[in-house]
Amino acid sequence: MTNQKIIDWKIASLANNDNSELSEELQSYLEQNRQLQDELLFIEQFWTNDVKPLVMPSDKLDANFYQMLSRAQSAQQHGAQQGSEQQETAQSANDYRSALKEPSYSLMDKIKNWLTPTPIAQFATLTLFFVLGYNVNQAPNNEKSSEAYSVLQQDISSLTTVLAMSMLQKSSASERLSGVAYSRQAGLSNPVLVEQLIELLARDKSTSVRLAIINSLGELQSFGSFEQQLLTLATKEENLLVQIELCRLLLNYGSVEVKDLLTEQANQQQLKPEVQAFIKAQAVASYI
Amino acid sequence: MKKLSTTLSLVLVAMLAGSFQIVNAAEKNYSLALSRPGEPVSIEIEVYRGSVTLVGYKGDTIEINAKTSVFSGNDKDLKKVKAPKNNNNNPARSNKGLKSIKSQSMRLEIEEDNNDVEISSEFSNQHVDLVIKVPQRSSIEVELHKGGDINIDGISGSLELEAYGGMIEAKNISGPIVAETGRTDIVVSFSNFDKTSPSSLTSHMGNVDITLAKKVAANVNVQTYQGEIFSGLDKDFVVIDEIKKNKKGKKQKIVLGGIMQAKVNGGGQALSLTSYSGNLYIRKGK
Repeated sequence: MTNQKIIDWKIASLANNDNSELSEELQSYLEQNRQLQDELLFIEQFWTNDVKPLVMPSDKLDANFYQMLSRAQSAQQHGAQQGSEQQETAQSANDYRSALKEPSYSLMDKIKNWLTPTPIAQFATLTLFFVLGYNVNQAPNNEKSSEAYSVLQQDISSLTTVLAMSMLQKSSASERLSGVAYSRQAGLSNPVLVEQLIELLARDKSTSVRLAIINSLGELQSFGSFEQQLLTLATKEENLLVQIELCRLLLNYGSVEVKDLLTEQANQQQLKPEVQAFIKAQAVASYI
Repeated sequence: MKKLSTTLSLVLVAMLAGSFQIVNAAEKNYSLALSRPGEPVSIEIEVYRGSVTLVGYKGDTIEINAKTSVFSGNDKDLKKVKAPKNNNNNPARSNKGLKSIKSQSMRLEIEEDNNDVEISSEFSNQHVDLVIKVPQRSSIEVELHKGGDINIDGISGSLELEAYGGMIEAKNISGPIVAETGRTDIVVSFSNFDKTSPSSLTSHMGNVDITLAKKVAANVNVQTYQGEIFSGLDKDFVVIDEIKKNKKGKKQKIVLGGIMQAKVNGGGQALSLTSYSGNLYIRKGK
C-alpha cells in the first residue's frame, strides 16, 4: 500500500498534476527501499520515453501486471468493435444527456469506470505494469526486445485511444476536454479517433471543446482525406472563434491548394470581416 | 434498502416529474430531499429568462427559492416569441370596456431521480430569479438564455455554465469548470484547482477575469485576438504554438492570437482563457 502511494505520487508529479513533496514518513520509507527506488527510476525513464530494461519489478507488481493485462486486452478488443459501431450510430450533441441516463453495462463502460476518477494516474499505472511485465519476460536479445517494445508501445497507444474515444462521448464538457487531451497523447494515429474528433468539432455545443479539438488536429502529420471536411467547416462555421481557429489550422498545416482557396475566399469577401482580416494578417506574417 | 430507495425515488419523481407548479406566486421556497444522501449529486438548470445563484453548503438537501415576475416585454426578444397579429383572417374582437389582465402564472419544473436533479423554467414571458443552496460536492450544469447573471459560490464539484445574456461569476470553486458567455464577462476565483480534468473559460466579446489562490498549480493558457492580457502572476507567458510547430521541424510564425501559456506553481491541469475582443485578467489570490 505504501509502495503504491509512492508510485501514485511519482506518476502524478511526472504528469505535472502534483507538485507536493512526499511526507517525511514516506520519504524515509523510500530511502530504505532500494527496489522501490529502482521502480521509480524505471517509471521516470518510461515516462520520458527513454526506456531501458534497467530494473526487475517486484513479484507483487508482476502479479498485478498479468491481471491488468487481461482486463486491458479484453477492453481493447471490445473498444475497437465499439468504435466502428459508434461511427454508424453517431448521436447528436443533445442525445448525450439522454444516452447517459440509460443504464449501461458494456465492457467499454466498465473500463471507463475503472479508469475514473483519476484516469491519468490509473492509466499510467497500467502502462507501467505493461512495461514491467514486458521486461520480466524478455530474452536478452536486443533485436527481439526492440520489436517487442515497439508492439508494446502500439498497445499503449491503442489503450489511450480507447480511453480518448470513451471520454469524447461524455456529457460533461470538461470530460470531453479530457478526451481531446488523451487524443493528443495517443498521437491521433487512429483514423477512427480523428473522424470522431472532427464529427464532434462539427456539432459540439461547447466552444471550448471545439477550440481544443482544432488545436489538437495540428498534431496530425497530414490532414489527408479530412482536409476537405475541415475546409467546409471553416467556410460555413458561424462561431467566429471557431472559424478563425479553423482558418489558422488550415493556413498553418493545410495543403497549398487549401491555403489558396481560403485566401481567395477572403479576397472575395465571402467570409466574415474579422476572418478576412485574420487571413490577410496571416498572409502578411508569412512573408516577414 | 436499495429497493426502498428506488421506491422513494419513484414516488418523488411521480410527485415532481409531472411538474411542481407555482401559480400566481411571486416567491416560493421548496426543499428537495435527495434519494441517496451523501452520494454524488448532479444538478442541471435551464432558465429562459432570469438569474441563477447557486451556493454550496454542507447539507444534503436542495433548498430552492424562486422569485418570479412577469417580464415587462420591452426587449426585442419578446417580440420574436409573440404570435403574429391577425394571422388567421379573424378580425380582432372588440375590447371596449374591458381591461387587460397580465398573466401571472409561473411554471417551474423540478425533477429528481437518483440524485440527478433537473430544474427548468423555459417560458419566455416570465422572469425567474432562482437562489439554490446545494451540497458543496454537487456537479452543476446551468444554461441561462436571457436576463441576469449566473452566480456560483463555494461549490467543489464540476461546473458547466452558459449565459447568453448575463455574466458568469463564480467564487471559491475548484473546478473543473467550462463556462461560456457571448458579450458579457466571466469572473472566476479559484480557491483550489481540480487535477483530473481541464477547465476552460470562453467569452466571445466579453472579458475573462480569474483569480488563482497561491497554492493553485495549473497550465494557464490564454488567447485573445483583439483584447489585451493582464497578468499578476510571477510566471511569464510563452507562446506554445511555436513549440508544437518546431517539433515537426517546420517554420512557425504566430502573429495574431496564438496561445500563450504560463506554468503556475510548476504547472498542472490546463486552464484555458479565450476571448475574441475581450481582455483577459489573471490575478494572484491569497
